[in-house]
Amino acid sequence: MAIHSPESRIWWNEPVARGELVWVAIAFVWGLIMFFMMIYWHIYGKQNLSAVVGRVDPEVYVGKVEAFTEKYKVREEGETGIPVAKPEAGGDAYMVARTFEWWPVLELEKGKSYKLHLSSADLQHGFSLQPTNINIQVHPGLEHVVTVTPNESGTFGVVCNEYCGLGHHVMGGRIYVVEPGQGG
Amino acid sequence: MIYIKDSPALAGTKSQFVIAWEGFMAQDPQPETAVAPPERIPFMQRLLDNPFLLLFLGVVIPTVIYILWGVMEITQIPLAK
Amino acid sequence: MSSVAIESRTLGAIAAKFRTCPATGLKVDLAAQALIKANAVAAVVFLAIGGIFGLMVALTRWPAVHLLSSDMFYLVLTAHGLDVLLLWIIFFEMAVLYFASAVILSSRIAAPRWAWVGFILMVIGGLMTNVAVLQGESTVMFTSYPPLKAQPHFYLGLILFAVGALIGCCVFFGTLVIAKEERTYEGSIPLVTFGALTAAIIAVFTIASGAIILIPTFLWSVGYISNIDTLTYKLVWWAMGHSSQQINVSAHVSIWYLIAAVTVGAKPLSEKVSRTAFLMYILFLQLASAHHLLVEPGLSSEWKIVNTSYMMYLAVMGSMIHGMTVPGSIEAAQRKSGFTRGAFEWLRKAPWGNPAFAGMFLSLVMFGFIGGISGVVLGTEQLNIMMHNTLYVPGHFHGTVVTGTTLAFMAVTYLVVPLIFQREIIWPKLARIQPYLFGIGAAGISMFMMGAGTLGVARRHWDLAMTDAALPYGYPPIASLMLGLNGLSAIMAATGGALYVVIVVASILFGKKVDETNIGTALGPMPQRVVRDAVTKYGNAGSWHLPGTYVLVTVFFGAFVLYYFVNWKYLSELWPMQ
Repeated sequence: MAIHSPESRIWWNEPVARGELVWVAIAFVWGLIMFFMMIYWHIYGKQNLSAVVGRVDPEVYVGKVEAFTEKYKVREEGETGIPVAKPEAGGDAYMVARTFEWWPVLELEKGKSYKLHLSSADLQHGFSLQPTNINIQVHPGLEHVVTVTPNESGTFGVVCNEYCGLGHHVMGGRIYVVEPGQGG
Repeated sequence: MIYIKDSPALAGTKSQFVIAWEGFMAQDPQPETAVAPPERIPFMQRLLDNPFLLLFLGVVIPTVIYILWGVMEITQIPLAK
Repeated sequence: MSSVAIESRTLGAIAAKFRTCPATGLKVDLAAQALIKANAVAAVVFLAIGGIFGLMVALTRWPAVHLLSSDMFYLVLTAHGLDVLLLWIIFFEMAVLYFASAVILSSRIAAPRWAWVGFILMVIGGLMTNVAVLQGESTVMFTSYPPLKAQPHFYLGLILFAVGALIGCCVFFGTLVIAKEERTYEGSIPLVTFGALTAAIIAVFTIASGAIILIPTFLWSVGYISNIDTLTYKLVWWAMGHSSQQINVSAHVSIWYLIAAVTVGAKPLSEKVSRTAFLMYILFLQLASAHHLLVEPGLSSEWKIVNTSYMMYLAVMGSMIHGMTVPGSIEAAQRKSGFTRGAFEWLRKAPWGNPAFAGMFLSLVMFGFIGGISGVVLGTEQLNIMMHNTLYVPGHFHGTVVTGTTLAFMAVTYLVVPLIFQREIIWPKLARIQPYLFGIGAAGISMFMMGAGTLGVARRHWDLAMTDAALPYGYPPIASLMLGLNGLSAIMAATGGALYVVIVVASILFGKKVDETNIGTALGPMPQRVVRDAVTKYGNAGSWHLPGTYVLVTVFFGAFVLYYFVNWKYLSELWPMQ
């Protein structure tokens, strides 16, 4: 009985039923498989989070994003006045999270790689790219550089999925992915 | 056990202890005890029967692997280019 | 109570009063009994409050209802997390620790006055934090990530609560020492107590981590410290936030063994295997705090993989072992009672009308299939990219903390009321359906939130349609359906939860007193004729033949492997990134 002390003084040496041992072995091996699956994916998989990160003053980061946006601005987003920036393929793209927006809007080309810089100007935010469903935490003071290669064209929403205050649910952003040579 | 001096029930403890000590020092093997030596408890069972050793392991392992290792990595984040 | 012997055991100046439990023959220290009652009652009060908040959250997420304003939604969500994830659970765990040490070991409890100090600190702390949240200036969510700042008494309340809980853990360890010194048991402590020890060890790490991070955060909130590093906060905070849920796992697994022992007379298949499984928890379960930091910048993949996998999934192995040995021990006991036909007669003829057993078995199955599998998938480094901070996360932990822990705690209450409060359960017919109502409702909450999370829906988000956003994103329409079904499930679970609170409170106040004449019926329907048979030892372990359990774990393992690799398939379709 689980509410009584073990019946024999030395229970460690009692035999264990075979079915139980087999299950323990299965659980152990399955654990190893799941463990090595993560390592395997780092070597052969294409979706791994970048480890490129540096400390940055939030104001300095905002300055970098503004300079980037000025250089690569191609138009404004509808009537919102939010700039749309189209970085060079293979180059750097910047986005800043701040209460309550993702800024600026980006336009990327399908199949091209970009170094996407993410950081926050104030609180923690969550970069949630939809509908592809990529979710990355964004901290103030940490500049995270993720190399992404969009593999489908279309309009993608960026939702904030880390609670950042009472206006959290209006915090949105956008990334356009166009066929190479189009857009602008 | 703090109040051992006040306890009439434990008044005889000391003399019994002395007797036992003398018996031990005499190194005179008693035939009864020689026949049935207490079975040695396996190491793993002794570990599992020791709550404070388990407490030590259960606090130190995550503190080292999770917290200290993690804090070390955070302090080593370089400045952004 | 004339027939119940009240016995005093005196050691020097320390005197403890005992009564003998008519069902188990255990000696119950009356000081421990009072502490168990107080902690259990406080737990149920916070469950009731937090449960109402939870229903309001679910009804707001349901787009067709959208109950609360955005400000109120975030406030209520903060309070919901605190009240049920921390207060309900930890108060109940204190009751479990005192029960598993003093009562099960027939010992006097160590330092009951200190235990009361701890209890009072926990009550003051819990109320203080609730007040801070309800005042409206501390809507920072349960996690309170800086630089988001709450009022100082929000943090102070949590610190007081943690100190109180730490005192409770010390009392537990002290009681273990006393019981051993006074030889109230022979040999090793019982398995249920060992499970509680596991919970207490994890609790010490949890509470210490909480103190390490909340004290500076409190000083920051009053202006003595200028800056809290966001990532360090998160790292240490989750050593509390996630490990506190690991206390739950250890406590509710221990309760599974307890209920199986009392209701069907189950005996652990192997002490060695079950205790080794708990040892894996003690050593590695806390590492899973890393589950919350898998898409964080600034921590290496090596750190993430070692920690998120609980050191090569050894703690998952522990859970898989319990997932087999608990039903296995029930099958073995039932077969000994004569239910030997086919693979599943033991399960069909199990005491499903006993809310303690039904709640326990539902908790076991749903914790494994819903909470357990989703937790491992969610906690896989790369798969987390598709799930972090989506509704999949609350979906997962409602599978563990609600269908697992809360349901197990509810189930054991149906034994605690007759054994400790010495009252019969009032309205046994309502009590019979309560675990099903609550369990199925909670399973719905969990699954539909995971469904919405798979579609990318953000957690802690008031407006699915993002109506007022300059750049809104429209989730697929099926997400609305998921959140509607989540709302309906929440209504069902809330009904079950309300029923639980009403039954427990009414039974404590108005239930028939329990003594040795009616303790048998008070514990609910049992497969054995009388309870005394159920709790006496019988036979040796012998050679187990457990075909039903083998079928159950095979189905579980198949579901696990399939779901795991399906998610890798989904991951491979995302935008490549490095």
